[in-house]
Amino acid sequence: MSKVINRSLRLSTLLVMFLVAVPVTAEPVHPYADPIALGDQAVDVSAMLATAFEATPWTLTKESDALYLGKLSSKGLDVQVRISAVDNVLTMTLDSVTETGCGGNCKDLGEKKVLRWLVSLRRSITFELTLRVRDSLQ
Amino acid sequence: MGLARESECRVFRGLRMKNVLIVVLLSWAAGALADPGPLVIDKSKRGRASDGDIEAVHQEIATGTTDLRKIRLAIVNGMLETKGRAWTYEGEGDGYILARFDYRGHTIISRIEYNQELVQLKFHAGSEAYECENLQEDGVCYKNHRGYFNYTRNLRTSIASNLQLVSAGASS
Repeated sequence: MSKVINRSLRLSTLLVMFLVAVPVTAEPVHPYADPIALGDQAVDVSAMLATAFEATPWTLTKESDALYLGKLSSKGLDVQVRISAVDNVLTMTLDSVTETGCGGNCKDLGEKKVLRWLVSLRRSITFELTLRVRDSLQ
Repeated sequence: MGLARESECRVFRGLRMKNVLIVVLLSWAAGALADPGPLVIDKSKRGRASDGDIEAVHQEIATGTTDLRKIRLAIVNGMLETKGRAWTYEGEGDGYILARFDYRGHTIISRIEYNQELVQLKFHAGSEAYECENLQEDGVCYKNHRGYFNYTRNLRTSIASNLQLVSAGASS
């Protein structure tokens, strides 16, 4: 009996030591694809996206209440993103990147540039959302 | 008799392990869902930024009002009116708002916890350069890139200013 208790205690101690040794880690972050939670705010998604897009060189097309497309033609690239609005959460995904020719102005093109455009678009949307959250509290 | 004792021991062992697990999980959950509270820096922890840097970001702020709506408004105003680039709304839950800062390809997400007495910024997430290198269970980040402390300090200052306005309005 005491052997079993000792073994049990040893196992418990090991388990506690293991759990304590596991470092505290934070959530992973994606530059543009993290879902945008609208929370409990009664947000008119179409109007919010329209205003957010106005502040950017992107154009917005509404496919349905749950799906929007964003398009950008710049520096020889055509970029398209898909924004889905499901259960009060917006999710942005990169649909396509097509080269259209840059007329000799091809420097600094590539993934980094596209990534910056996507981050900037997401930020424009979340900034507009922040303004709406503030307005709802006033 | 032997079999009965063996199964009794197995049950005993199972219960003991279960209890230990429950205690450990509860204490972890308590840490993860911690309310804002007075900042206590563990001086024995090595590899941390200066106390001044940690306090500038994680020191609790007195709300000056018990109106949670006004406190939330002060937080959101603080995010928008911070020095430099605004922090954006990234969602919220019971007693906290997530604020995101995207700048030059890097991201910081702060968890701004609040109740009727206090507001406190906690580290929630960071991309590459801004990942916390010494994150405590209560969400206080002891070591990070210089930029983390600078940008988040500005956010805290801005929220504190907005709470002061609320407090002044409440007392007048």
